[in-house]
Amino acid sequence: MTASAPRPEVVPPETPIPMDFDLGEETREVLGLAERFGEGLRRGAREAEARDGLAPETVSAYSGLGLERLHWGEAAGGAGLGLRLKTLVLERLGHADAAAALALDRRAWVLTPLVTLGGGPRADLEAASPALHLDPGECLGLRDGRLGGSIPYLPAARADLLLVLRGRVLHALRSGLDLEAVAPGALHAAGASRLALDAPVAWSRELEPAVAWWVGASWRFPLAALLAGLARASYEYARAYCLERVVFGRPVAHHQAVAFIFADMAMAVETAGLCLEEAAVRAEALGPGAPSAAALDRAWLQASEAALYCTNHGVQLVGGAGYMRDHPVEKWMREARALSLLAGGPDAALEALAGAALTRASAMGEGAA
Amino acid sequence: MGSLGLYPFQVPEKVERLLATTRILGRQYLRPLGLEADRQGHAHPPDHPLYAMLAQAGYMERRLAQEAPEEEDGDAGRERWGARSAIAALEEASYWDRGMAVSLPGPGLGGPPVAQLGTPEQRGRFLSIFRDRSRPRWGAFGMTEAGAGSDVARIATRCERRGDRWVLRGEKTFCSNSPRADWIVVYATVDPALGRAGHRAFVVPRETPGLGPFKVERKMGLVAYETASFPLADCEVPAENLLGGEAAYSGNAGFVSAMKTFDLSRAAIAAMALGIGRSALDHASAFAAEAFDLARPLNRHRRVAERLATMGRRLDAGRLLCWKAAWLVDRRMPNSLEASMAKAWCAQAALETTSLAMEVLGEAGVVRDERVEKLFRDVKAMDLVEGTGQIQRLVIARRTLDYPRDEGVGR
Repeated sequence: MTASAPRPEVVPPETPIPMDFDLGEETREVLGLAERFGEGLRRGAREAEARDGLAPETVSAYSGLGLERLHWGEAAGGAGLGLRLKTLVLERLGHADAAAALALDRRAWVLTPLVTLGGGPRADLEAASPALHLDPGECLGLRDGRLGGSIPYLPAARADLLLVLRGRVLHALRSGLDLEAVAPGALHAAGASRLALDAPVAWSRELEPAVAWWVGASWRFPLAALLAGLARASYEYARAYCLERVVFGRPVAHHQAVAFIFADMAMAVETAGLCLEEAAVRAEALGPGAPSAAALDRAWLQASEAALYCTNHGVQLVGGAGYMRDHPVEKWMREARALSLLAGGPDAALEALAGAALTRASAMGEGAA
Repeated sequence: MGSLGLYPFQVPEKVERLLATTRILGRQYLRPLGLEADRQGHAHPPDHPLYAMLAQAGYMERRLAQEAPEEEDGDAGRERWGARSAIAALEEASYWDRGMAVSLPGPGLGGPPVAQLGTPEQRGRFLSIFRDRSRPRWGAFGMTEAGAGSDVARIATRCERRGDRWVLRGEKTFCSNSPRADWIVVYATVDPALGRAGHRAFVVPRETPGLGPFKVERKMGLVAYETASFPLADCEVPAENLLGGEAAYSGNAGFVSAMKTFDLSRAAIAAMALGIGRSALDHASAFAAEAFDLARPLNRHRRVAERLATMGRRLDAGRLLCWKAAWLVDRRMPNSLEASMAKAWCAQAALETTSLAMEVLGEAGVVRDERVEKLFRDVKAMDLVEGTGQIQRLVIARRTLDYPRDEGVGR
């Protein structure tokens, strides 16, 4: 295989979007609300973990804030305040307690594709405990209008509606959803189940490839936001600890080897947040579909890497104490690992980005200017 | 806002025109001349027709506006775009050839201290020469010394007042474009024991006795512009060449002015790194399309695609850091934390990108005829100049951890 001299041309960048960092008064107020609610979540995080769920009053209080449907259009009963604000809110909640945030906001996100794309009976939007499963490799079998197979883990304790994206067909199931509780290593507050599935499909809808991709990827928005929040939480906690604790005559954080790790953590947190915002702005500006896809995959991977890096170092920098449940960092490390496996994990995002890179390379080979 | 779509974020039409012009300049001149300089092992001479052509076309005046963004878009209520415009243009220019981009005539890094610290008379005297289109002119910035690299507070070049003159004594190193500069902004100290408070900034004209000779360094890459060391041997400059006048140096003004230069220049270096990295990404993508039948689902192709994806992701994340750092400058808000993050991240990401690009090319990547081999050599400097990656981390630590100043970081 020999290569002739490549043609050095320029592939146009992604569609330009407005990228401004001035949040505005309304956004700051909403974020302040989320942060105040998050303080309570943080205080109750260990209790929620111990009881494998949230206290009913917590669920009720969250529902009363109106944060759940911030990003839905007003016609669907939402506030119409956009994806950027919603992802920022979830980052704040992930910073407080990602497992609780997942439990509190799962419903809104699972139903978001139905709201965005339309389709499905209106009653589905009223489901109390919807769940989503991605099956890109079509591991589940479809025969005579029934879906069968095994789903090893769902971050939910119950489900009255299961949306399954199998290949590029979206299936909805409303019965036969007998979830079996499992013991998870993390994210206890969200619930954890497995499902031996053999249930009738209520309705199905074949989607355009780009839209099908978007349905799956849209699940990465909340997860990326929670991961970014986890990264920041771990960075800030370890920072405070290492500024207070003194070793060899100075704060732990003031030893250069440690300070450099904090600098890298700060950069990881910053890039994860910026990529998340860009993905949200891009999706808002361009709508569902391929043009905003790469930004979301990037954001997901940045957030995932940031969370894994910062939570690991959060434990490391707090030292032996960080390994103990007296500090939250060990919980965050388990949660980062678990969250970053959902929605197809890093493989799905990298696969999508790699596909886009090959498309771009092919376009370049054709001499795109 | 513009509609050409030359940048992933919306920019005004005027910025898009700048990008479009830079792209034409890059394609027609910067890239071919950059490769030529690399192969011949030295920079093109100051009388190269390109430099004369640019001078005649008013290029130096436009650089003045770019490098003193606070003087642009100054109308109250109008959004300022100077910093964002600069980093977008620098990324584009570096995409074509960073070495040639730095070699182009203009005040260079000497521009910001003159613009920010200089009196109106000094700004007129030293910057107005770049409005003369009859020949290309350069400015330069002399801070680094053999014993004071990243730790610029430790410069040892002395300045001593003698009547209406200042006498400079010492040696500067790694000073870009200095052998061809009309003047060099030289930082010196009245007394090293005073630390930052002793710093003074002078404009030293080219013909000043005692300035030079210039020793052009031999570099790993970026040979398209000259980087030189030079002595200042009892080099006398008139008192009116002290930037801002003596009254301006209460406290750490000299040091602060030098550091302020970094607020935009660190983001600028980050943007240049992005340009080099993007160039490597595009070259590797084009190579892959030419060399491999990408329609065949081979494992090798997946690995190539994953490398390309990783390269793009790291660069895109870096661009957001740059954009935010520049946005803060345009808003006249402090940005040294964000600028250091951008610099540390982008230099590293771009180096990784050029390295991965060479992996995509395989053994062909070793050959100097392939552009990525040059880009790999070029990009390493981005993690060294304007404060190494380690210095950026010290700055970040100071800003986020209150890391003590006596641990060796300037600001």
